Amino acid sequence: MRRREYLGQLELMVLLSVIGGAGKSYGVSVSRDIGKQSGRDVALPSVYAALERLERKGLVSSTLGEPTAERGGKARTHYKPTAAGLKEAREARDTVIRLSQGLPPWQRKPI
Amino acid sequence: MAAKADMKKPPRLAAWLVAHLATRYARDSLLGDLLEEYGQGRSSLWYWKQVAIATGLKVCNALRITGQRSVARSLLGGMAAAFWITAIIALLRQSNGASTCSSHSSQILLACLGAVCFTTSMLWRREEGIRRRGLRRGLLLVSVTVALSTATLTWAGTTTRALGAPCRAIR
Repeated sequence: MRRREYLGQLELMVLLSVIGGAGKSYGVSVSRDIGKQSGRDVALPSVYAALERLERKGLVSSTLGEPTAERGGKARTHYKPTAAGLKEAREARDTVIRLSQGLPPWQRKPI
Repeated sequence: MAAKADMKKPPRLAAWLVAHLATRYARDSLLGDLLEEYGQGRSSLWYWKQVAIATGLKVCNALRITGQRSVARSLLGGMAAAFWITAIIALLRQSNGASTCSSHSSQILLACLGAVCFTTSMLWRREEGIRRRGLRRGLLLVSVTVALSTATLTWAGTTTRALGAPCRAIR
């Protein structure tokens, strides 16, 4: 029986960003998206390391784009989620929702 | 073409390091992404930070792939290296002392040979192919044989001296 591999926090964020990217996601866009949504500055090599793990787990697939001059003739690698990736993201979200039932609400400061 | 000529170029050494140290996976894409971001106003410090992270990830990746075997091998290698160094130093001290045996020089030679064989076999890169792997194992075997021979010779020398056949004195 194949052991289930759980996603780390960065992997999950990268996967969710790829899902939101509608097949046009690439390293820079994922890094910017995570930075914008979470306020964390994620380095590009870390994003690619996470993407590599996700692709190895069969959660995302990649295609090579056209090389452009502004990238020194290097092509972009575009990522899109696989069916397994979507399932994994849904399961992760449901798990987080279930586990966060006991989380106390924000304490509002008195005005 | 003009756009390419006007393009802001990243530090040459940093770019070289990324090209050679980043993981093989999507290396070109990473280089392109870094260039794209750098061209859009990122600093050289930012570029160097990416290089440092890429290097660190490469090291972690290599350690994770080789796993516990690598750690065990490193520990074993360290212990063996310590043994060889101690053996050589002890033999050298013994031969520089008041008395020496004719076997001392051969023991030192054997110890040195063993140390060289062992170090070479430990430093040999694993992913060089079956042929080199065979050579590596051969070297390990030689080093183990040499270790046993040195130990036997040392033991024989000690026993001989204990039985009253001292070594020749050095003038």
